[in-house]
Amino acid sequence: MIAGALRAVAGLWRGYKALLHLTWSEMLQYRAAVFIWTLWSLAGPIIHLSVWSSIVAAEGALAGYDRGAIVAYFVVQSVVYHFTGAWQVWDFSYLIRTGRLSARLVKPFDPSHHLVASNVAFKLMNLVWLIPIWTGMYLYFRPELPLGVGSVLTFLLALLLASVLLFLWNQCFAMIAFWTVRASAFYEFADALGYMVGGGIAPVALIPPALQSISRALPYYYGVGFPIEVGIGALDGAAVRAGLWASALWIAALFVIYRLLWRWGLKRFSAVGA
Amino acid sequence: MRLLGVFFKISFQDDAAYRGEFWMRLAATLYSLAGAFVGIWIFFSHTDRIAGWTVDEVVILLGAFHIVAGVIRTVLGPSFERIVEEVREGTLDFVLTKPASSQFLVSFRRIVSAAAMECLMGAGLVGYGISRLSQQTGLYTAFAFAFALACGLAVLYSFWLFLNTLVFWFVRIDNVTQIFWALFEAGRYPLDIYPGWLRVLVTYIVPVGVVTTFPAQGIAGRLAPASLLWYAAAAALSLYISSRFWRFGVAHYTSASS
Repeated sequence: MIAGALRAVAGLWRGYKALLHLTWSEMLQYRAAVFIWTLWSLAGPIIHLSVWSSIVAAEGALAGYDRGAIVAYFVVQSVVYHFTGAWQVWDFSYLIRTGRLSARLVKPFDPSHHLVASNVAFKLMNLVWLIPIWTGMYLYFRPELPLGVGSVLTFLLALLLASVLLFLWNQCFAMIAFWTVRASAFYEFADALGYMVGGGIAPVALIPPALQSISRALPYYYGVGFPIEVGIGALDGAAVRAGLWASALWIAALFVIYRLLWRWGLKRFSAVGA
Repeated sequence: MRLLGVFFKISFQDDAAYRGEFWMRLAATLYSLAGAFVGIWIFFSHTDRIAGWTVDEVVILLGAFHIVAGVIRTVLGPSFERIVEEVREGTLDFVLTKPASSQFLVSFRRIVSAAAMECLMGAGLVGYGISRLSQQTGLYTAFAFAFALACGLAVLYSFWLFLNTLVFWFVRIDNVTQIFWALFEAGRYPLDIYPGWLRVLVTYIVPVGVVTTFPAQGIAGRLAPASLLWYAAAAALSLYISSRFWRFGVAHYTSASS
């Protein structure tokens, strides 16, 4: 049994190597566009950093966020945004609309592996210019970050869970494409709300209670606000553990939903194609 | 002017064929507006002034932002989008040989009338903000708003024309407009909140911030007549430079067929 599992893992690893190679060269073709998308993702954090800095400068610390914490929050946000980005709902809708999904289905791989590889390749490629940009931001804004080994490892764990979570969330919306061509519109609708209440335009502690309760019903806090708060050291040990568990539960739930939708949708798709 | 009317009519007929698209666009615009309001609500639940701006002034500024965004999405964006394609395919020749100013044609020929709703909503926001403003809006402040907005649009138009003229040298500039939109987001809030380097960037290099901040300052009565004059001069100068650059670009351009 163990040998079988090892073989499966080795097969997956070989497959991923090939897929990463493929998607990496795809990205390389569009490197200018990829670069510009990256710049896009920096606009939000810098704008909101400015807004909150001027509010805090006038009012003093709010809910524990002084100027230093605000700066740290939005600098880390730009990192979290990068690693948690997911956009396969657009790619997948395109595959279905054009019927190209059929070609992917005959490969000896679940097509979602291709989407994962493409996501990872994009993030890796962007690091080429993001690392200098982040270094520049760090030196310019001088955020106070907890840089001990334990804190950094916890942050990386929260970041990993957050990116898996938002990827699966996006994947669930991608499955809607089996039923409607407007899957991405649904996603954009949820996304705009989610980033607003989940730690995008403000730390969740600073939004009104009514919005905080919306935030609790959505997975966005664990994909956006939570990893940032872990990264800047705003949470104590118990809160960190609770958040990590909650992220894991969301991941499990979303994975089940995605697999169910995938199975139903695929039946529908084959019915249309045949 | 008559040509502009014709362009508008054609586009309206085009869009009327896709009514579903129209409703989607309306819903999306309303939704983003609601989002902007929630943002303002969150910010002002902690303070009553951001960098000296009251909530009503920020609403007016948001209105100006949507008016400008609407104009770009209605006219400039769709029209200029075609240049890139036409230079690549060589069909720009057809535009250049028409008996009207080529600059006028490339700037205004494609109008997405559905996007004009955003301008109306922006105007509504401005009106709403003014009605809540504590001090009286006099004739001068209303004039200052309109004048600063017109100058801002002229500057922005020149910037777009300049950017798109670059297509004669670098064919693939589609992505450049994405950079523009990313920076344009900064225009949602008063320029006073930004760190120095960013303020310089969105004031002088990519003049997106001034288009929204100056008119809102005008209505709040914080724009002196002298700065209006300076602003008009800057607008005239930028129109002149970009127009010259366009003509230079056209002269430089030799199409695929020649």
